[in-house]
Amino acid sequence: MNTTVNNNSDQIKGLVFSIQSHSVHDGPGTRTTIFMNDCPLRCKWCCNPEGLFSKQIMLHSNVKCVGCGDCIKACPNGAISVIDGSLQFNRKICDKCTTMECVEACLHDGNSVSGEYYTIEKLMHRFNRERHFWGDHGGVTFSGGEPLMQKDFILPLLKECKKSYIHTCIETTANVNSEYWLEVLKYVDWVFTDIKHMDPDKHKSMCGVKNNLILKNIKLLAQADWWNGFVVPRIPIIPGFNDDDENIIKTAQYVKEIGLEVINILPFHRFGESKYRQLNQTYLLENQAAPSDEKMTHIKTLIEKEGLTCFIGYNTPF
Amino acid sequence: MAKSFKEMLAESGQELEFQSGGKAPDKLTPRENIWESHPRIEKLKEIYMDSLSSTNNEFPYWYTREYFQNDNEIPVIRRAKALKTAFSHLTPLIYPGELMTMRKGSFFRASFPMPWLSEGFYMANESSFYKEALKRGSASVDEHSTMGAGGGNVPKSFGKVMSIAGKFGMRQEEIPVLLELAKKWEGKSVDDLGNKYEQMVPDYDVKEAIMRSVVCMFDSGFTLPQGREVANYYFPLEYGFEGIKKIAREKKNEVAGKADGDGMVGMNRLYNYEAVIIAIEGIQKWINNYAEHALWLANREKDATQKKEYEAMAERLLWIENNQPRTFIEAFQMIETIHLAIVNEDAISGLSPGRIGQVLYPWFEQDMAAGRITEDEVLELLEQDRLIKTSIDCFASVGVVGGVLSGNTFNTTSIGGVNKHGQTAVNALEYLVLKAGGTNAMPQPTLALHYDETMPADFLSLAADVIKTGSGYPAFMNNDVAQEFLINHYGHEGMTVEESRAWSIGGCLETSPCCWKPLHLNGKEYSIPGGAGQPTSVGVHFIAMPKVLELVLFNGVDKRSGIKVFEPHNKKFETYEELVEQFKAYWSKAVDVLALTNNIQHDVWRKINMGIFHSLTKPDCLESGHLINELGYRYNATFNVESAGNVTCINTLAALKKLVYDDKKYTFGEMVDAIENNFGFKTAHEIGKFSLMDQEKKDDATKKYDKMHFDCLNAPKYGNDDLYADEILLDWENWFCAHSETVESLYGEPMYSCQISVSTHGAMGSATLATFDGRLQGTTFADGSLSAYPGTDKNGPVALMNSATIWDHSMSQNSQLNIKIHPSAIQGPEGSKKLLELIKAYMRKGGFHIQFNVVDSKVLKDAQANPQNYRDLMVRVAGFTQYWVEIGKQVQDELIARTEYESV
Repeated sequence: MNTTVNNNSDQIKGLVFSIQSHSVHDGPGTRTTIFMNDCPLRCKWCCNPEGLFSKQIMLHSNVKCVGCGDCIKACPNGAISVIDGSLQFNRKICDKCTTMECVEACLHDGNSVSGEYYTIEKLMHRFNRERHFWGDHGGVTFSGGEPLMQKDFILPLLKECKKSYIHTCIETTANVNSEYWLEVLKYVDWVFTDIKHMDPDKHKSMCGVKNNLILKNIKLLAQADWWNGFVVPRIPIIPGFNDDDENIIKTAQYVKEIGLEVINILPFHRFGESKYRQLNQTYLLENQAAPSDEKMTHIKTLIEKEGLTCFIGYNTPF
Repeated sequence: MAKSFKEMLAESGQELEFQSGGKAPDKLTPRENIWESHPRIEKLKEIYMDSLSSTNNEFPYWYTREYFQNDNEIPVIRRAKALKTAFSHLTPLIYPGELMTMRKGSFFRASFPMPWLSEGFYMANESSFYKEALKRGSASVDEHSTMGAGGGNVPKSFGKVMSIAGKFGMRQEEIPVLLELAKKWEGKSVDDLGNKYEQMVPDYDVKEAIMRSVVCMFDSGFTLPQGREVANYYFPLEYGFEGIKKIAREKKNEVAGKADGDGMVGMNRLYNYEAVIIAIEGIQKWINNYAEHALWLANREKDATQKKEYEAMAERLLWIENNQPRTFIEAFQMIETIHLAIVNEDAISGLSPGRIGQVLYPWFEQDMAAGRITEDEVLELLEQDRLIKTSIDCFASVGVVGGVLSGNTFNTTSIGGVNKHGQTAVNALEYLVLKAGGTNAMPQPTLALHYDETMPADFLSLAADVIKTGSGYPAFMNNDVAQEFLINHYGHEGMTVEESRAWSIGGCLETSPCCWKPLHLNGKEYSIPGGAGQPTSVGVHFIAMPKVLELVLFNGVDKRSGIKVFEPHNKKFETYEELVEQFKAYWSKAVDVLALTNNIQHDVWRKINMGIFHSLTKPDCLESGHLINELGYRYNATFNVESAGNVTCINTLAALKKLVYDDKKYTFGEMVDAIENNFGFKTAHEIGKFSLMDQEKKDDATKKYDKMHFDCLNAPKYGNDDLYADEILLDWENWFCAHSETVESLYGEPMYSCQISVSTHGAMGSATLATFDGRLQGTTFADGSLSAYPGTDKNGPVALMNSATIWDHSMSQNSQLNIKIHPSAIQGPEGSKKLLELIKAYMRKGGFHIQFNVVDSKVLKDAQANPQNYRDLMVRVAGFTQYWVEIGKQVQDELIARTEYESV
């Protein structure tokens, strides 16, 4: 079990739900990617729903559960019951729980904790153990969730990376306070940021917030005279939502207008589906199909017609 | 039906997570690169694929007949004459389309028994002698080894073909001849004589118990007494066979009757030189027979092109029978001939050609300059070389051939490294050697790439492309670490920095001492590397670390068989340190008694079965007049202590330390009880499956051990960059490597540690109870010496490599790390670059060896179910590549279970 109790108050800690070493798709070279909890958006296709929480969360795996009932006995809050022969979790209680007796009680890894608290020192130790493996152009990528949500943690961590000559990359929604945005990105070398839709209301319908702040922040960064890094706008292609020609062309025009050159389009995938089950949530895009290869090529052509470079999926030079 | 472990722990297995770093695509992913060889080679390959491993009595008949006609002779002459007669009588076999020719015997895949090494094995089941051999314990390992049932193996008798050792087919009518020959050697073979004298070691009964309980796998002296070393083709290439005979005759005149200050063996030089001449005459006659046969075929050939090829072949053979080769193809034919002669002289696995890209370079350079040959023609020859090497079988018991070698004979070729002056040794020919590995992907020669920082980038990317053909090679070996090991270990025998640069892999992963020799061709001098050391992987063979620990838990008794192996220690183990002390004490005892008994076996071998032809090729026998048995080789400190089940044992110690001593969650007694009851599971043998994921609970299982088993599975594990487990490894390595250096071989030299599992992790796991890391009874150990146990390396390859490099690999002859990669993880040129960066980082951190299986687990599962569709599927086992269908089930299960990395 990876539970670390956040009780040492004199050291700042960040909540991380996954770390992937030698990751090849999250920026130039090979990288260590840190997935950080919490997010201001609620995109219906999100593939990391466990990362939306700002606390540790219990995951329950139906596949691993053998139905022994040991966790029912262990839970002091009576949150687990058997209905129609299968275990039911009262998520109203579970999602607020901090003690998670059900995890300790399970011998089959049916219940587990997502999220681990890290000090800056502990993450830096890990980076230093792994930096030999990054090669000439690699480094660290902060992803999530939204890494900029844990404000007090990420800024000193990025400064520490800079001090140690570590190349940093961030995958961000850009939906954060603009002042903070410009402050924190002084310590970042590379930014991936989504433009999920150009229409504010459509954006809100699928992501929970309008896109005004996002578009503003991207522009601010792209046009900041001190910025020496690289910004790659990405469009996650969700058929029926944002894959119409009009939206694609508008997005491309916006990107060109603010002075950027590249767009990376990512086809929708359903790899996150099982995690919804583990959170006892319904996956809203269960019947959503992935875009066809032809569709992706078509979108690429549209973007290129606007004078931009476009890469599909992870087939990129970075 | 009882639930299987797999069912209990989820199909996708997050607990034992078999896919690290993402999920593999659902459909079968093919390997990225599929290359083809020349049409001529494809045709010959088809014959190979349809050939069965075959054996007959031609060589043993003539050898035995001549040997017993010379009982008046001194041993070295007696053996030389027997060899000469046997070689002279081998029936030549040439296939149309061959550019180079000669083979071990008169089949495409030929080998033959050598009853003078060990005759008991060849006797049929009903023979009382065989039963006697079984009782001696050395045969009990056969019960725990399985041979692959497909491909060219002959696992069962059919028609008039008898299966021997589950691999070789012999015509039924020859069986009485074999038994008759075997009988002649009763009481006279190396095995029998060695056994007679090893029994005089005071603790011989301990050795018997060790072998019978499979604490150790195999005796050394009579199984594969030579090999795991690098061939040296220099002398015939420089002087020609006539030239060597001339040297020997001159030397005879110099030394006849003289001791020259050496009252022990100085006088022997005369007989040795005489033996050298006799042996060479046998080889020359053998070559000549092939030349005659080629001419005979030419005379009957209607096809003009083929007729010309036969004639050219005969002309080349007649030339190299006596002289230094003039052209690239003559030189290549000559080293093939020398290689085959050496493996015919003794039971040898792992005779590595070494760095042939440098050995053959003088002819390559001059032929290319003169326009006598093109790169494409060279590539074609290199492709045929792979076919020749893959066709080499070694006749030994099923335990050795199946359990250790998985049918491979390890004729590893090395590429890269540095030259005499320390610069990269990569040359134009080496690119072709590497490329041929891809265009003719066959198990042999496996390629070992000696990595150093000066290696050209395009050579490395070609290597990545070859890996992507799914061949499993090249494996990467760290040049600097190897040199450090050689200078440390062979310094007292004269190893210098310059000489250490000549090193090469012998066998699958054995760092072997070599030397430079000046080769002259048309007035130009070249430095070529070649083997200069005795066989390695001899001495104390594979001791199963988890099994030794098991004996500590059960007070010296093997629970499975009830045999008392070691004296009871009667300790309670109040502290963890006390337990580790006892483990080391039992280990030392096992090493001690195995070293003494195997020293005797090898000593008997050197007295009656010394290599003669092989010896003359190795520096500095020809100069000194002493063969291998009289320290004629330049480097003699080559004997070793081999471990198996390293990582399984480290994980077991980590769990014990954590649960019993640090957290005090269970008592020592409770833990031992769980082991005795296999955590409430059936044994692997009961269900016939050998990977942990497939194990089933006992039908009447209680929940008694569930919590403990869970805690064991979740205890700290090696491979996660977690110091808790890694420091246990560090402590062990520091002790084990130093301890091995205190053991003395029969040549009066210190041993060293050898840490490769080959395929023993399957067979030895089969004889070991459950372990505290959560592994269940009878299942395989973790493979190699540094590969993580399947599913336990949860933090990806980087953490695994950080764990692996916690200790100094140059203290040991080798270390071994195998990684399985899904083809989608290293796709495209970007994927290659990232793969190479990973490898380079491991090398920079001091890792000695890493190799990859680029294959989709789903393909392997399908191949196990439908072997007929996968005749040419190759996988990396442990230091070598082998056809999937020729591997035993235990190791197949283990290969499927190995953690697969989706994103490197």
